[in-house]
Amino acid sequence: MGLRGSYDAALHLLDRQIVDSDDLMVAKVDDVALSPDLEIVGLLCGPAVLLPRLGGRLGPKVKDFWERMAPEQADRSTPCFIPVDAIAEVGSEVRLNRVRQHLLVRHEPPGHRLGDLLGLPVRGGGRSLGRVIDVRVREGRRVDGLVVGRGGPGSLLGYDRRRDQGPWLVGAVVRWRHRHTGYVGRADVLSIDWGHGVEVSVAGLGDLPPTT
Amino acid sequence: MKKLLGIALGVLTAIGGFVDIGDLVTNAQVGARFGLSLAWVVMLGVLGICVFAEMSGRVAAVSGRATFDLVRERLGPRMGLLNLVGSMGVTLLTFVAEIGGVALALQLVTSVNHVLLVPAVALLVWLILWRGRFSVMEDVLGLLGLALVVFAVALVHLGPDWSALAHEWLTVDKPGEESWSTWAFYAVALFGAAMTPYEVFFFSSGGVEEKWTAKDIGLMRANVLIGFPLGGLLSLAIAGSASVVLGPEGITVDTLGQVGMPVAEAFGKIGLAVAILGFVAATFGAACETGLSVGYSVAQYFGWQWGKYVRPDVAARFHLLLGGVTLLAVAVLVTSVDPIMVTEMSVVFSAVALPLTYFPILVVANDHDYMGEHVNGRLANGLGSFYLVVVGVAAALAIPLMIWTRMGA
Repeated sequence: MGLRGSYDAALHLLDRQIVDSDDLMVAKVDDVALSPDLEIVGLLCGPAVLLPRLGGRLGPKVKDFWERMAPEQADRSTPCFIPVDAIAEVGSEVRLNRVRQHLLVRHEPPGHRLGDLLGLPVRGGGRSLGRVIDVRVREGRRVDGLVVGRGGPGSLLGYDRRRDQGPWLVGAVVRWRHRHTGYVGRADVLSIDWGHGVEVSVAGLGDLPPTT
Repeated sequence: MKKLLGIALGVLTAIGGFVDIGDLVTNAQVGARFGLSLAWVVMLGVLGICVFAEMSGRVAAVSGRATFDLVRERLGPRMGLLNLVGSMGVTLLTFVAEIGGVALALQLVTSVNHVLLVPAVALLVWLILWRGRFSVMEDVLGLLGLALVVFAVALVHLGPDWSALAHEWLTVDKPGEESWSTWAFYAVALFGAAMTPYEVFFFSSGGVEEKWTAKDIGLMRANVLIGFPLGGLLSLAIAGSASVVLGPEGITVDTLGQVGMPVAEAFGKIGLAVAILGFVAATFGAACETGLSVGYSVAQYFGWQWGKYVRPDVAARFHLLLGGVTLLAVAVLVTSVDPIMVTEMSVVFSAVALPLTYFPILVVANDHDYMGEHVNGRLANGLGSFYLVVVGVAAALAIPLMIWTRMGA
């Protein structure tokens, strides 16, 4: 099993290169499949999940266009799926334990996409706390809490992890932009209304716990 | 001994490969009109490309990730796509200009119209992209590109008034008849030509092609820190010789032939022949590099297999794309558009696209998860931050200056 420890899914997993056991490239991690109780079950790739993630007005439009190019295909909006037990190691690339020949099959397990969780507005105590900008994962697969802030998904660029990460100029700007960014533990999440927003039981955000 | 040879070869190909059609044309134009009063900008650009090429090379050596992998990863699919469209537009424009440049150089020899030569040149470029070995392509064309040293020799042979040249350079002595806005426009163009984004796409992807590891960082640094500045010196020699020969005559550079005139003045036909050999090698090498860069970047954005270290059928989509891009370049050039004009456009738009490429490199080069002990030191970060501001200013000014000065007219 390649997914270990605690990490931020958008920063460490999303958009990484997937390579097979022969070092040949397979695809990008265009999205991550979550089970209904928010555990990582696999990687998703292909235009069906990449295009919606373009976001804004562009995302739905190009996805619609792409589906209309072949309306006769029933599985056009289904992405390709790589189960989590195919992952050997996650580093600067996601290495699989099998070869790429005939690897990708169109399939999407029941549950949710990480990309749909990112960007959802978060409300707590009757006021807006920001948007989900990353998802903290523990024990390799379990979603432990949400990183909530005012930027776009992944906009922390990893500057939350070390105080001394340079260059000073970029670090200072990113930290200033994210001075209201904080953490909501899984236990404090009351409900997730997919496509609309997240309701939490706390009125303020906690400090980001360190990743190990 | 073998290691020393390796370093020497790397440095020589870096010198020969540094100059492309954008550098040739822009430097000659600037030399003829502004003398050496813009030499500081070339030096600023060369130091900048050294800083970021070293960073991207180090990231590639340590993590095996090329530049566009980083762009997609750190900026996400939305900004990444915007970036892809922007930098691919520029690189494609440069690719068209380079192929046109080869055809123009061959026109000087054969007197056959360059439009007729374009399909043959493009076919040759595509054959090399498809079949040629990566290292052979880089070494042969890089070494032949060294023929451009003839510009430096010509400058010395012409025996200019060195103190006057140095005065122009040191005091930014702009000729009185030129306005500061055109001066600024050419400053941005020169900066864009020196720092074109494709250079880091190609350099970092080339590092992955040649399977660099952390052990190769020293060799990579030697190539960048010795080779690029010496290549920049060639750029200055082109500007200097143009300023000595073309400046006093009031000739502005509109053709590749005029770029070679100072050499012809110094050494006659033989000199011109060497210069044309240099033109062909430099533009041909750059055509291969820009063509590959388009393929690298698109494949890295979508996660396709890319690279010449695998058989073409293993990286089928990558090679299909290279073929398509070459056809597109031919289609543009056979409209008989002037390659020199395409070149001028490409260097200006390069300046616009600069921050998109260099920001993610700077961020990842500081990431301990990625780089371990090889993260940026203070020098790289200080220079990197400085250049981030400089490229931001250049990018913001490029289009307004282009419109304001009507492309430096």
